[in-house]
Amino acid sequence: MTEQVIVSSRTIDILAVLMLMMTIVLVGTSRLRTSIWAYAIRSFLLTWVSGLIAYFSGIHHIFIATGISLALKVIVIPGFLFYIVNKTKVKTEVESVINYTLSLLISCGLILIAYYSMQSIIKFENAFMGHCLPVSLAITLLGFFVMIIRKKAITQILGLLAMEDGLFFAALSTSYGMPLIVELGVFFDILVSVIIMGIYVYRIKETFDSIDTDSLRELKE
Amino acid sequence: MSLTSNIVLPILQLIVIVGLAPLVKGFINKIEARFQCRRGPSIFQPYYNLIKLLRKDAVVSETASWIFRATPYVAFVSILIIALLVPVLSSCVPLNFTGDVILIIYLFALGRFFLALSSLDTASAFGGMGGSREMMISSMAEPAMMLSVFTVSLAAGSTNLGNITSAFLDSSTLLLNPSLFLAFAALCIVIIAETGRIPIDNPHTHLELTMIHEGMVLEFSGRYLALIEWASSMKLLILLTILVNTFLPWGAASGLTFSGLIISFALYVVKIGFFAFLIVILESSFAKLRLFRIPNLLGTAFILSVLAIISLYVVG
Repeated sequence: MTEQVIVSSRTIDILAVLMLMMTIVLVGTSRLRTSIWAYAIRSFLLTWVSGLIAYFSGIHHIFIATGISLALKVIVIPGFLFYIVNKTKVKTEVESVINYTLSLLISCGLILIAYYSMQSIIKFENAFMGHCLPVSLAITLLGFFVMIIRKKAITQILGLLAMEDGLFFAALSTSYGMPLIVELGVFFDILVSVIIMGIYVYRIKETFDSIDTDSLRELKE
Repeated sequence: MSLTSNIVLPILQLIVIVGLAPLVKGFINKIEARFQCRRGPSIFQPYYNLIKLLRKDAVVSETASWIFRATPYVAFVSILIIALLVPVLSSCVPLNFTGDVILIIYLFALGRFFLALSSLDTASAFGGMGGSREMMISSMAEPAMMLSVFTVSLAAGSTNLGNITSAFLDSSTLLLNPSLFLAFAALCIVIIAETGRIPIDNPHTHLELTMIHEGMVLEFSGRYLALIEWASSMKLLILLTILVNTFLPWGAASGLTFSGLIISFALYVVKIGFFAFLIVILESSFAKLRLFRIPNLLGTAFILSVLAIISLYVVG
């Protein structure tokens, strides 16, 4: 029995670490399509984790959240982002305020902060699924960081989605998810905000002939 | 270990590493040619090349010093020593008492250092360029390699590769550590950088502006070139062996029985073949990175290895 618990908690830990690796890809890659793929794969891993947690805990509403997240985050949102990229015909190079090596080093620092700040809680929790909480905090921080350093509107959407993934994962791994009605609300929020931002991306492209958010400064008098 | 195993094991290990290394190279070339819809050279072509080169005279530049002559031997012998320091077919290592994984990293560095020196020695422009590039790449790949190897050592409780393999063989849940996954990913990137495969360096090119490893060995000919080529193919096989026997050690014999060795040899060939096939897929689906993009990829490897060691330290 304990052997099985160890194996299942280690499996979830490994999936969590793979999610973190996909977020590092989002920071490190210079291609727009690669970063959207990284988002889709991370969402798939997150769905997998929530399916596993639902199976191990036997709580029904996590199954529902898993199904919705599979449909929405793995299929609809990445598909919509690819559609936007194709439609606006933007250059597929990601532009960043600081260079890639420096941003990788800073993101390394952020992940270290996440691990060290969670150290006392992990010790308290007897190392069961010990990687989940630091990883979820790290994904949230990295999403925030990507929103700050990237210039293109689509990469900023991806940063926001990473933050949402991190929060969802934190709630899932610490307290078996939020109540179903809250989760439904969050999913709906995410979908609507992505679609609205997608339309904004399209308008920015029409007005400025690029989706660089820096050019929004020209709106000033 | 008994007296016979003291004699048999090193000989077996040398036969496997030294003998099969060109075959791995030939296998990769053949499959890669198949991927590009060519028939490709025979799988034994690297052996024919080595035989031809060993028969030929070596031409040495008049300005070259003793370093140029000594380099092929230093490169070859340092790799030979490493071949006796890694567990290949069984978790017993012939030179277990002399050194551990830190010595292996330094022996790789020794061979590379002499190659870089000899590339400067003949004062050819391409040699210096290749040497400086190789040093740049290795200065970024080495820390990542050290950290990921140290993560494995911390998890297994030993810096000795043989002990690491047997520790992972004994406990099935020890390998299910997420930190080891990070270390594995980092080590994969480092191996591609160290052996000069495609996203970092193209082993088939002799175009002046892009070559890294080939630029360094451009001045060598005859038996010197044969030794260097042989050493580089052995380096590929040894790095794959380290990867296979630390992270996927299942089937490696713990004793020295005949049947155990046969089974572990078959599994070893399958595992190495699998990773060689992965290299082929990688090389066929990616273009070579621009030189100034390489720090990006190796930086990712470095970060993954730092995370591996920190998460192992924090979470355990």
